[in-house]
Amino acid sequence: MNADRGSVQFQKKVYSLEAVKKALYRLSGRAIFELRDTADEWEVEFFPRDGWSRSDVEESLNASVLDEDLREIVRRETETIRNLLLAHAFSRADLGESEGEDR
Amino acid sequence: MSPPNLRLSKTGRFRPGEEISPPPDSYSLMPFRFERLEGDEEQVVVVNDLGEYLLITHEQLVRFATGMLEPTEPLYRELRSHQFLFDRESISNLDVVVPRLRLKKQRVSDFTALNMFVVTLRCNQSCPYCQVSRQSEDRAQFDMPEEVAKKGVEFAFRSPSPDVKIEFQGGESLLNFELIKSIVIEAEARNETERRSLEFVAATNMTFLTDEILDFFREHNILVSTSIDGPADLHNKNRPYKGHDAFAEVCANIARARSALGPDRVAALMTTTRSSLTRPREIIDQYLELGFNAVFFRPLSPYGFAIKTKSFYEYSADEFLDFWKEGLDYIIELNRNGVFIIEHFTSILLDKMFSRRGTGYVNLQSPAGNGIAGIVYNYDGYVYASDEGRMIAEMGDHSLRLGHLLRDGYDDILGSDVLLQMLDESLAESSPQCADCGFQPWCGSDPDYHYAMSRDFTGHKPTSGFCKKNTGAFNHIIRLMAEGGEPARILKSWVR
Repeated sequence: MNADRGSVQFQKKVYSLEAVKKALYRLSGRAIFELRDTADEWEVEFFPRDGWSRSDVEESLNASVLDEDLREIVRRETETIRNLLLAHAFSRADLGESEGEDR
Repeated sequence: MSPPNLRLSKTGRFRPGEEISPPPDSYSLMPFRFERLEGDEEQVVVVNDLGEYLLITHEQLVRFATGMLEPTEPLYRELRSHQFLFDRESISNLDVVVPRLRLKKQRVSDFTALNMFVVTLRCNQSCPYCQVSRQSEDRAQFDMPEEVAKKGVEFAFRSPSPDVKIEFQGGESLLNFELIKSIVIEAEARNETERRSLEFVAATNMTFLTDEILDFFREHNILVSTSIDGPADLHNKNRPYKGHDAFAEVCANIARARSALGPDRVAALMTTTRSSLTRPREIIDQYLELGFNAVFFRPLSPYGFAIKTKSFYEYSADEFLDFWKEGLDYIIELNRNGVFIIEHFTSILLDKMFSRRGTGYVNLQSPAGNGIAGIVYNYDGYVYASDEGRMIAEMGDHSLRLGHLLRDGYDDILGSDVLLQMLDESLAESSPQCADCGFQPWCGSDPDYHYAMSRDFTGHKPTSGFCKKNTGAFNHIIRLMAEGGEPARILKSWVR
């Protein structure tokens, strides 16, 4: 692990905690992260692993959080149609009885 | 589109179809995922649940995902035709999507088709990367008993799959040819009434290929699968056979087998070691010289002797990808010059990306193909969900045993806690990172690999060699297809 640590802040009113966490997970092979909750921001402090520079990780982190935010939008917008399509696709499958479903 | 015939959950989760219709002069998103292209992060691959993909810019992605595209834009039309969006004009296309989704997961409901019988653990070779614990030839207690074999055949036909493929593995499988004969005859007898599509494959190092064996294989239409690791020096270094020239013997027997069984009844695989990494062209040339028109660049796996002899750690996923890319470039060049040869790892990925039915390759399935696509009956009667599971057992870890053929019933084995946990925890649709990964519709899971590396079926994908290898390969193929021309045409021609 190299000693060149860095930090990035993400505004809470723009990015969800889930988006930030998912981005950190994705990049956990590139750096070790510490996530802190401040009043208005998610503060990420990181320690790049060998082979990754502070600027590499910072750039990746910013892009990754943006992407996770976009994925949230897509998931939200497509949840209904995805459920509908999957249900329709497998509506003839004999998958056995499930608890809690109406007959 | 009429509402589907559903049981509605108490939460009313499934709403009628008319509620999803987009407003006029607007569009709705179809489910999709995306990834930035490696090496050019302003390019983004968008992939939908059908596995169709487009390469667009990040700016286009943001406009598309936030409803800002204009219907007059070429990108709008392209996204609509590839099922990334729908509008009032194209809402009826949803009826096209549904059967294709069903087809993508058809293999799950077909259930177990591949049945691997480890007829003996005895072997006459000493391959350092061997993924099973080998025993010397004279230890007959490592042969599968007849009653276990018979139970295995019965078990194989319990699956509802219309296909029953029986593969003989070892050690060296032909060291127990008598049992192979019994299994084939038993399976064929059962199939008189079962009427499945029945196939046999014998995995062998080809050093024990007698005329009697060839006659039997011809009579029962048994395919032979062997190993060729490359030119003679590379093959013999990887697969030493004391007192013999393993390469010369296998080449001679390939010719005999082709003569007896037919030219397309002998297949070959190679295993990539560190010694292979600088020689992909020579390996390909050797395959061509031996009359093969396909080569399978297979990386080492962390099982059995591969870990014991530290062979597995000899190279990284990146080094393997460099080897594969160089080999693929050469194969494309050969094809351009009229020499037909394919690379199987690539063709499997291409099938996942472009074929509506995908591929049966067990490591590119979600849920994983362990048990539900392929199953292993070990020489001692224990049942495993994969060949890798029995290899892990040979290293002393028996956690992946599903049960025993002579003691446990079909339902107990296929419903075992370890199998269900393995499938549940490795499901790509719900694994961390995989669930959101742009390549998920094409990818799969490898619970054995991750268990061998970290004792965890899910694995840590940011550092997983399995993930790195697959995402690296998908990125490379996407780039090649985007460049168009002959390379793209050649790759597309490999899709089944």
